[in-house]
Amino acid sequence: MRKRLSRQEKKQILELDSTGIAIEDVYGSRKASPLFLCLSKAMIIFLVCVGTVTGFCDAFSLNYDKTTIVFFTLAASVLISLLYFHKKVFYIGYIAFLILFTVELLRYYLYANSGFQAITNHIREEYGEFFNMSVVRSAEESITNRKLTITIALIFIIAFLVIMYNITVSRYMNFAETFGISFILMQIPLYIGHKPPLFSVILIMTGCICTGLLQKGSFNRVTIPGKNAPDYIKDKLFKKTYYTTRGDHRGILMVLAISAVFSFFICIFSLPAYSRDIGETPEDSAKASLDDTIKILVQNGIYGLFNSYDSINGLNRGALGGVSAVSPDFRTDIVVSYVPYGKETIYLSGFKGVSYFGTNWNNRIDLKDYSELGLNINGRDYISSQEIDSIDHDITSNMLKVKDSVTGAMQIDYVDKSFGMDVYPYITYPSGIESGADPIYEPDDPAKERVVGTGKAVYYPIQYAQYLGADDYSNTNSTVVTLPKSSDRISTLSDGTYRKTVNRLYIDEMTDGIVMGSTADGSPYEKISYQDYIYDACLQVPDELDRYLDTFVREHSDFGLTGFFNHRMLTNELNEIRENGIAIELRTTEIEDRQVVYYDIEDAYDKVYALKDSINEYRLAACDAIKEMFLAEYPYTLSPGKTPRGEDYVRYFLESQKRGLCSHFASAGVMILRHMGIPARYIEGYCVPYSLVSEEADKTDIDGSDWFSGENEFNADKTVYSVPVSDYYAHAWVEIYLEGQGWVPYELTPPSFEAAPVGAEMSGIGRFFSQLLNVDLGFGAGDSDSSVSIADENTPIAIEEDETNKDLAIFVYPLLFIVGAVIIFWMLFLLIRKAVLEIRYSKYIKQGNFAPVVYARYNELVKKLKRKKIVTAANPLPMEVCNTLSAYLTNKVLEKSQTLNENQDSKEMYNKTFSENLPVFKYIEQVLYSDFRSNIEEYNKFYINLKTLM
Amino acid sequence: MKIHVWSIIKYLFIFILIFFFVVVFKQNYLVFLLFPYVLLPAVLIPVFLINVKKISLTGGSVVADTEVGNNILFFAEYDNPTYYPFLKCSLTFSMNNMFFSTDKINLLNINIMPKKKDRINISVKTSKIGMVVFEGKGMKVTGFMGMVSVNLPVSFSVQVAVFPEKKENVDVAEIPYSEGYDEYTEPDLKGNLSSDIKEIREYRPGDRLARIHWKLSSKLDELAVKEMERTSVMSLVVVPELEKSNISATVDTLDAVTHELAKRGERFEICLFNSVSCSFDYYVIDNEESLTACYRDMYFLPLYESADMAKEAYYASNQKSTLLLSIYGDEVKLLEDGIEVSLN
Repeated sequence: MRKRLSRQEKKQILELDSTGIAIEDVYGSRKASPLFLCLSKAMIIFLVCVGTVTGFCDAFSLNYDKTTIVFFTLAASVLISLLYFHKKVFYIGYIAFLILFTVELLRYYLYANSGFQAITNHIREEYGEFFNMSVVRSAEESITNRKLTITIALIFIIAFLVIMYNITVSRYMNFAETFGISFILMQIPLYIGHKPPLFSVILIMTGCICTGLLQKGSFNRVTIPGKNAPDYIKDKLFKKTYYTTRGDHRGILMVLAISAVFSFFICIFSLPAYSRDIGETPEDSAKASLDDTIKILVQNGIYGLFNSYDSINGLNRGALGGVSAVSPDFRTDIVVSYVPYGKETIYLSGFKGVSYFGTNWNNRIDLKDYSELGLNINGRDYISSQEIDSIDHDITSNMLKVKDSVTGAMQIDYVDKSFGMDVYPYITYPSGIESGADPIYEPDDPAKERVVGTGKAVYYPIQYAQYLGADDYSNTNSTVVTLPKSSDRISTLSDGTYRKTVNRLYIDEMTDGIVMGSTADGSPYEKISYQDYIYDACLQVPDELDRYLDTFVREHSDFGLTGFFNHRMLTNELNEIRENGIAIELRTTEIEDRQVVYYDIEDAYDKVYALKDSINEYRLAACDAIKEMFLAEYPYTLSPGKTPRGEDYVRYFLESQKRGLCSHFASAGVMILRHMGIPARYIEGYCVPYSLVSEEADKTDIDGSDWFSGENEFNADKTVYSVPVSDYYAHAWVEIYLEGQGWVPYELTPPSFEAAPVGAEMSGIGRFFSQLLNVDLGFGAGDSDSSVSIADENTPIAIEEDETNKDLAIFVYPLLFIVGAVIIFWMLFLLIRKAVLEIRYSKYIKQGNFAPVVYARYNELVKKLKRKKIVTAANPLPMEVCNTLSAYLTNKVLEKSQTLNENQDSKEMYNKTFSENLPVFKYIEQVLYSDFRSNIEEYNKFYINLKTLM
Repeated sequence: MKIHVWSIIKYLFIFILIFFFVVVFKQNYLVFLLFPYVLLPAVLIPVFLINVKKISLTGGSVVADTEVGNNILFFAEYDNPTYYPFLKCSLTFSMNNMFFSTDKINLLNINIMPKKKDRINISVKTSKIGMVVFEGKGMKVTGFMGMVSVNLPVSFSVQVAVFPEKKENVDVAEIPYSEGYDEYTEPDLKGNLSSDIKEIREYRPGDRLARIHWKLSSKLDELAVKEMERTSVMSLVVVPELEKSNISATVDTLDAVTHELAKRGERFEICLFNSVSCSFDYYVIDNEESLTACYRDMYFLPLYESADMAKEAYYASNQKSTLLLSIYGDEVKLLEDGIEVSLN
């Protein structure tokens, strides 16, 4: 049957036909061994892989079995690199490897999965610590023995990694790719300042430098050789034929040794740089944005990246849960100009959240429940926030008659054009904005005209109120509420009119005053709908959340959250009075010796206001309790993470997240307060602390007396200050409704213990060079302030850990490891070579082909004799060796027996030795230089004799 | 020296990446990765440039000539006296049969190990006669990560002639014996020998008695023979047609004919026609060496397309000899004054 020609053979025939010649084979003087080539590459893979994995794990202080990992990496590296040994091995091996990987993964799925989850949980915890953010998305670890599970998970990770390294090393010998894989993995701990041990770094560096040195060398051009693959592999490209060597394991090992030495010395010289702590990291926009992304990834996974919206430091118009971390840009959003009246923070309210929907606040109210607010709604089914503001203003401004109140003006200049929310100075309310009342300063007044920014400027006439603390609120009835004069009361009574029908007192919604009326007439006020708004809309809590809060409040009874149930009764009582009035009693007294009958309205007043005081006290105490609880258990963070989809924002924060920013505290606070029956609202806006005025504000030359009237702490200096307010001061807070006072702010957000971000520090490069210049090179280790310090004769000698030794150990261990690894590898190489050669020789012997075996044995003997310097010739003939060896042996014997003088003896002895050795060399000569055909017995005899010689 | 910008850019890219991490992400300890990055090229490239000049590479062949069908073993031998390993050396070489030369370029990528002198063997299979030339055209040695490369002026040319296969019992019975003109019987006008002695050589069996230099022989104690300078062409001139498509067959036939003629003791000349310079070279074939020399020269001659160019040019150039043995492929024609004489 005609032999089918291979493609290569066909090509060769064509080439021979056209050109008369064809290059058949290119080969070196020493046959390249694919086995050792693969093994030497395994060495590189092993170093990089073990360095990366142990570096990664040690940087995170993961609990794992290092010995197992090192041995598994070695085994996996050797196995995977051997895939390039042969074409068939490559294909079958890869498939087998993948099948084995899958089967084992399925077998140990629970362990591997738990280990993997343990690693990710650990990393996420570390990241959470670093960014001071709550990490609650814990993956479940079904098996809790972390050392075991992490080790198993690492085994699978290593299996994957060695495949990757096998491609970058064995196939391409590409520095960038090899370095890239390790660098990316190492970045996970490095990013948060967790440094891998220097030992691991040296291993990685050795492998990478070695790859770099071998890159572009012919070693990188290694295809999968076939069984009889040529030493130089042929390849055609652009009309050129390339014959490329498959490489040589000796070369690779040599370069590996050079790389090890190189990386070792590099590490010695650059140790100071490596030993430096990460230190403070100045803000940088690139890092900040990457930080944000990483925070989202850590907290919410990849999903979190697709569930986000822009936020001005948590100012989201009531949208909740979509911001993982707020990163203020420190650019000015608004500029407020006013005369400071005290050191209290001024709040600028922007968004009023009334209705809570689990993921957002809405500032509108559904009209169907509040149709009696008496607003012209023009067919709409809701009431807008402006309308609520208007009602707030109408009602509350009438109530707010603060003692020692002052009035002033504030100009708010919207600098950031993208800023789309109007804010109003807090505590008092803007008047005349909607109604078109004139601003207190005409914009065209040249004396007062100021252009602060490019945005629109609005002038608000405001009435300042002293910021009231809890103590103030509890006694505000005398200051806020206008009581009818007692003379009026007397006159009312003393005019002799006696109406039996007048038997009740009614509370005026608008003035919080009280009028008398009769039960029959009912309330003199047509409606009390604003109270409906307060005691209905501002007490709404979603049912499910309400149930949760019930449990939550009970769980936190330590903070006194459960002690406010009387408040409901009192509120109900007050509302009852509000609706039906309070009964007044007819009493008699003697005035000027005459019996006077009068209504004891004072008693009724006292009752009402005592009731209001009690209610307010409860409300403020409840706020204090919540604040205390937040302070104790819920830290503030700018990076709280997102709320997963479908989760209730408040519940997730209270139950799982347990860290948050202002909107978390405000929302949760409002919900807890409402749950307790306290009317509360969620407000977003800005806060202007006095520190901003003292640090950032510009003193203007405007006459402050036109902007302010009354007394302030800085009375002598009524200067208008222009205060830039950046998004860092955006804020969310709680408003509670205090009886007789209206809506007052309450700060539930605990203070932040995070380092305040700094806007404009030294640039990254500047800092880098400054750090470089400040690098302590550590050469003063033996100086006065070093390891041993003797403080006093009587005090024990304090011996600190010798840092120098520690540093040395860092270098010695990796060096020993590399040297040890190379020695082990070399010994393995020798053993395997010996085994392979013996197998080959036995094959030859079986075939009856003794020449190569005899030649090899002869060579071994010659090498040995050369090593002992018995033979010096380069390629000695067997008989020459026989002569030299016989002479040597004779001399040796004679030296021992001290009979050197006897020439005759020596000659005889020589002849004797020669004749003893002769058969061995004669056999060699016959086999190698003649047509002599040996048989197995003769060979065996020769081999035994040779062994005796050797 | 050539600087490879793209390699440097790629290298710098990684450098910048690390630098970026150091500066932007404040991983100041990564500075120590920058050290090897700067150090590696800074150290290795100068070392490379110093050492690269010391390496040498030559070419050679194990045999000087061979028969067609045999393999020729060429080798490239490098010598690196330095301790620096050159892991990417690319030898550009051509391997051509001069009759069928192509512009094909081969590149041999070698790893030159430190302190080593080694050979890379190139085994070439032959299928046609001709001069196989292994020509080194330069060696490019690339330094660390391909950033710089140096072109070494490696230049060598190794020639191995591929002769036709020796054929036993070639049947050339059709070729007639010429009547055996010698320097005495030869007519004046044809194939004259001058009286000048070209050389004195030792006697070989078959030499005519008249050629023996008796005087000298008596002095030397061995027979010396006078080789006379020819003044004109020999009586029998063998003219092979170096036509491209049939060159192998032509040379085969030529070889058979020359051996047969030599066996018969026939004196003859091979006349080779250079189609480019339109000139003729004559080779007196009286032994194997002269035939080899003739072949060697013939292998460098340009081939042509026509089947009778040499023959026609021969007569057109008014050459003296009238008896001409024209060989083309397997055909052998005997011509006398341009007219074919029947060999039978």
